Amino acid sequence: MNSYQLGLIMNSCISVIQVMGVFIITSLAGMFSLGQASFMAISAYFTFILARSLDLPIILTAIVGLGISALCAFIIAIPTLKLRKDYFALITMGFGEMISAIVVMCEKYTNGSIGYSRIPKVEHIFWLILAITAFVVYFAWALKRSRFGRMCIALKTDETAAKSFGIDTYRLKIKVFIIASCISGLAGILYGLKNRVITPDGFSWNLSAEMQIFLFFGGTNSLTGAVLSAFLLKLLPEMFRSLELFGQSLQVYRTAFYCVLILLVINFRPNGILGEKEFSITTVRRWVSRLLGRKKAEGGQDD
Amino acid sequence: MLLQLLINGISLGAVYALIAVGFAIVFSVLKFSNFAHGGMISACAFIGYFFQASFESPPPIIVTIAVTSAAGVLFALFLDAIAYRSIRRHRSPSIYYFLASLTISILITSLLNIFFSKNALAYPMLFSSTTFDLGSLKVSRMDMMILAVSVVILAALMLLINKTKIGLAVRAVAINPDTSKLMGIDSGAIIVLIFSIAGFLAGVSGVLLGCKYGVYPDLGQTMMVKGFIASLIGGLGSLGGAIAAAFILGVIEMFWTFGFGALSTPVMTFVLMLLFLFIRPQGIAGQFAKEKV
Amino acid sequence: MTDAILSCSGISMDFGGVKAVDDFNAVIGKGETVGIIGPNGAGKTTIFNVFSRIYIQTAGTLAFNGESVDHVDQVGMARRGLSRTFQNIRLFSGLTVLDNVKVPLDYKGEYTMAEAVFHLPRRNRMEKAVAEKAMQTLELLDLAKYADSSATALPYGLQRRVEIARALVSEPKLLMLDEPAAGLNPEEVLQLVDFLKEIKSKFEGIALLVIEHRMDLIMNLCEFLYVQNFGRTIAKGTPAEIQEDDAVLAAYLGEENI
Repeated sequence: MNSYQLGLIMNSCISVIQVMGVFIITSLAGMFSLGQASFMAISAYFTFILARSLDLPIILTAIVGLGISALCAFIIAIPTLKLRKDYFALITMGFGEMISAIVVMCEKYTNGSIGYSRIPKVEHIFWLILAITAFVVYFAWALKRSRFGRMCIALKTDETAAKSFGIDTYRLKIKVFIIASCISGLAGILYGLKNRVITPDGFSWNLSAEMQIFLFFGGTNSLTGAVLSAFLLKLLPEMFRSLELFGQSLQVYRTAFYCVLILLVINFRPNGILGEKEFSITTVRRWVSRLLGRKKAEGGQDD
Repeated sequence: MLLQLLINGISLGAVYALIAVGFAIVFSVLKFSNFAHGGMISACAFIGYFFQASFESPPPIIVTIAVTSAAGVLFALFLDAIAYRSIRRHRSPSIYYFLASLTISILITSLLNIFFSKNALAYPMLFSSTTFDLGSLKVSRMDMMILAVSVVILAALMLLINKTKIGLAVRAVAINPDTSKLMGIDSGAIIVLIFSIAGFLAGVSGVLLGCKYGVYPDLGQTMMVKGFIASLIGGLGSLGGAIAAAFILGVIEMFWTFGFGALSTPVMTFVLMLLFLFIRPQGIAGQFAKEKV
Repeated sequence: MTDAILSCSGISMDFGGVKAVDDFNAVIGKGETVGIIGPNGAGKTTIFNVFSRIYIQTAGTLAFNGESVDHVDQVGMARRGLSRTFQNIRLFSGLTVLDNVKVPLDYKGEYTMAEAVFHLPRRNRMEKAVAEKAMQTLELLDLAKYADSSATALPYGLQRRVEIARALVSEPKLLMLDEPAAGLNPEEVLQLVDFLKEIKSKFEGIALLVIEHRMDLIMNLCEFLYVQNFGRTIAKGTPAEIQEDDAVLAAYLGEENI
């Protein structure tokens, strides 16, 4: 594989990590965050600026960077998560705006909207990203299958009922939000290491929203669906980069294209592509047999 | 100087109030955060701009506002048809409204970004001289025009909601759609009406914001955050609270900008909102939008 | 009063001027079975919601197990040993039957998130214990064969049973059942009565508080009854006494043909 192809795979892996952060908040705990990109920014900027100015190894400053993301998540969570869910989406979105403003404001350290590029080079970045991605996906999977996952899903489906079984939903939501923000922060650091430049525009609201769209596309409650859609939806448009429409590369239209797909899904398949199912060999087999069966029936009934 | 800042702040608050109300009216009835409002504002700002620019000698701004807000209503009806109608029909949970509005907002912004560059377009000059003197004060004509238009529209809207039969129906659906249906109110029609009002407000605020800040794809998104913050401070879903909070926010922001510069205002407004929610989570209006038990 | 599991005096609940519950007084002893009956809108479920702290009463005091719980929230109440079912079944839709029954045990799970993620021995041990406990409870309710089905896909009657299993698994001191017999036929009601009596012998000292319309269940099961109408208690006493009470006959038994 040449370096361009490796780059594409790395981008897709980072996209998977991003979506895992959102998966934990949205699919497990049922909250919508529109500010996860800003946690990427916080961790990335702190990690690289500290590494450069204090001349510390990146692994140390990365821990600090993640810690600061966690701290910010904690501060936002305290007043917000006591209120109804709608507040959370709006406040995380406002938080994103604030972080972008701060990055531009602290030009002295961040180099403002031009972007910060004094990022150290890391050896074996491809394997590093691959390994971390695998770990994060495993993390989300193990979390979903533990008592925390059960409590989260209980919280998501019926908060009042969850409370009446002794689950401290407020603290649980805070915990989940902090973990998700650390995962987003991790994605931000890897994004910086891979691209060697970070700009406030790169962590805008649109990125946060894109993560939600990828997640929804894979299914409202399916981990495998989320991983697949995060990987593929990031990768596929790059493959058609050379095609043009109205004088622009097809790549430019990807977000618009996904939005249209989502609207179609909402209209015709209101549970996401995979719904609540996990993707496995058996589901594929069932699909294939259903497809064949339908062909035999020649335009049989729709389900 | 103080008075000057106060006037400018009130004018700024008036635009925020238009946005906040457009957002809050949808929330009060459908109980979801209508993110599409930001995209609508951007789209309407462009529509207004191209309408205005298509004439050799630009028509009065009022004409542009009227045309754009009509377009905003049509646009809202179109969105209702392609996204919200099927959600209503499937009786899906309100999370789908949220998701649909989010998707629409991103769709609009990304299309605008593709076809128009990120550079701002400026509305043609509206006034030959930009300010006029009022005693010792220099008052911007633009700000006064914005203030006047916003206040008239807000007043008309509040009258519509609080004093008419239609308004009563809207309030009834906001409290309980199922019971309203039993009382013979067509809640579907009311919802369409609500989206139209939101579209109308997006049209007006799109033109006004375009005049003030120039037209660019992310305009609505950026400004919508202010509207969100105002309606959160006002008490989610309360129109009166949103308007009050928007004016307060506008004035505070103007003073802050004067003292500390414009760059840090988003930080200030966010921290202000967080502190406010900490102290008084039910908002200014004191109506706490609670989730059903 | 130390042998009362729950006692309340002067409980009132206002909803914007409407008094859903007005001056409700009750004592439920440890191991007792108490029923609340009354027509629709009598405020029975509101009393449940006050007891489980979904609502905080507008007046009156509440004590659980000898301790004042006026300032305890829903979570604290559950952790003190109060458990309930819901009138409109509220199972967790994303979870299987078994997982639904595991949920009430989860808050006291002793393994941390790190242990959860790395599948450390303590996590596996605890998960096994929780699964066994949940499975035992399912077997008690004859639900073991549905353990892996999606909870909300089951028929209505089975969902009610899963709700009872979920409320029982944490071995509460007081179990509150909100219309457990809704939608059951007379034969099933008798089975339910037998089952609830069996529970009382299996879980020593457990008290039951039941809201019900069905007289066959109430009269066969409860030792003491409160009759509510329009938020007020119009009669209380043993089932035999209640059956003789004129006010009850007029307000309730007369209307609903039993």
